[in-house]
Parts: sequence; structure tokens; C-alpha cells
Amino acid sequence: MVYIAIVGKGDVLIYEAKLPGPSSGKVPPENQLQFIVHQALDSLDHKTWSGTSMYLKQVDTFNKMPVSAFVTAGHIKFMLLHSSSLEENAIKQFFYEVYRLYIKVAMNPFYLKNTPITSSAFNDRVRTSARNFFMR
Amino acid sequence: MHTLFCTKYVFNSLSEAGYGVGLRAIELLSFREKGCRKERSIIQMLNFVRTTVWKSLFGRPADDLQISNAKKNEYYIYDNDPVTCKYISNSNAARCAAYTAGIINGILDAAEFTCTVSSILNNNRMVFVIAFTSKVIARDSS
Repeated sequence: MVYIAIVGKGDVLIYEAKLPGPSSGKVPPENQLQFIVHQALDSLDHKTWSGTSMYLKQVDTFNKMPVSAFVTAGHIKFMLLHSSSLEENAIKQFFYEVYRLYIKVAMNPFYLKNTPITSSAFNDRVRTSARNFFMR
Repeated sequence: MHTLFCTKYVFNSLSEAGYGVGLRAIELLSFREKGCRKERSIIQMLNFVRTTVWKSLFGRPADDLQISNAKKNEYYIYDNDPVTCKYISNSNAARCAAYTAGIINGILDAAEFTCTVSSILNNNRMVFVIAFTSKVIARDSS
């Protein structure tokens, strides 16, 4: 099980999903997932300004489950809570794929930045790419 | 008709329209042109605006980028021939650069370089005055 959260400016949650992924030992209960990701935002902010690359690898851990992050040019944060058995390369490719999908949503002139993403096509494509990259 | 065009409302609306373009331009151009790298310092960010953004929007890089001598938080981007003002046969043509100023503002705000951008015509060149907030300057100098 892999949990993705897309956080916009001012720590506003734009999108979240539980995605198919390699089975991990202990999965945190549903209501804790958001707290875990929210807690990781501090170390993410710190790491954002330390380099120029968008993929921030691992920013935090919770009970041996790492939280990886990716910050876009417009400072939209993609955060992934996953098991430690997931390869870094798979996560990086997944983030670039979600970035591509996010840009397509953002280009819509009717889409207001920082509002929730309700597009079902976006949802389906994120789940498909999660299946492609994580279920190998 | 003539008086309607001169009101401040028109140019504020132009700015806002440009702001939306700027928000989208930075995501798209960082992905396409810059190979997924984000900028860290003010000078790098402004060079990105001056070259990459200007080239993709107007087909050529902007003419000059300078920092103000007097105020440390002001930067100037010069454009000798702004496209948005070219074909307007009204005395307020120069104020239509508010659209481009809005674009620059959108790009910088999205990248967490909060600022105000205004456009002024000076010696037949259009100057975009970018004034950053003190927080941005403090972060940049550290």
C-alpha cells in the first residue's frame, strides 16, 4: 500500500489516494496517514531550498516507513508514504509521471491553482502509473 | 468607448489575466525547457524569466536585467519592443504592458519569490520594475 498526497501552497491538500503497491508489514490506520504526511512538511520545506533538483528523495520516516517528496517549479509538493522496499528509481519515475499529469490539469484555464483536483481522468492515470511502477 | 478604455480597471484586469498565464508558464517551461530543475536564487530566477520565458513567449530574450542602485530589493527587466503595446492606436498603449507584468508576477509568485511588478515606459524602452518582499531578500542572502 502506498499513500500519495499532493499539497499546494499554504499546506492545502489538493489530492490524496491510497495506491496499489508492494505489501508492507504494518500499515498505519487510515486517519493517521494525513498526520504522518503533514508532519513531514517541515523537513520538506527545509530540504527544498538546499538544492535545485525537484526530486527530494526521502524527507522523513515514520515507524520505518519513509516519506519521499517531489517539489514542482510552482512549489506544489507531491508526497509519498511507502514501504522501505520500494526502489528509489521507481519512485522517481512515478513522480515524473505524476508531474506530467499535474501539468495537464494545471494548464486547464478553468482550473484554479490550489484547489482540489477532481478530474477522474487524473485519478485513473495516477492509479495506472502506480500499478506500472510499483507492482513489478 | 474611449473613456472606458482609460480606466484603471482595464489595466488591473490585464494584470490579473497575465498572472494566470504566469502560474501555468512556469510549470510548463520548467518541465519542457529546464529538465525539471527549480531555481534557488533571485538572479537565477530572473535569468530564467529573461531568457527561457521571454524566448518561448515572444521569440527572443529580454534586452537587459539590472539591479537597482538605490533600493536593494528592486530589479529591472528591459524590453525595447513589447509585443503587447505594438498595435494599439490609443494613447494608453504603453500601459498594456500590465499584461506582461502580470505574467512575470505570476511566475515569481509561484516560485515563492513574492513581489510586485509594474511596467514603466522610460526612454522608449519598457521597464518592468520587480520589487521583492524583505522575506525573499533575507532568504536569498543567507
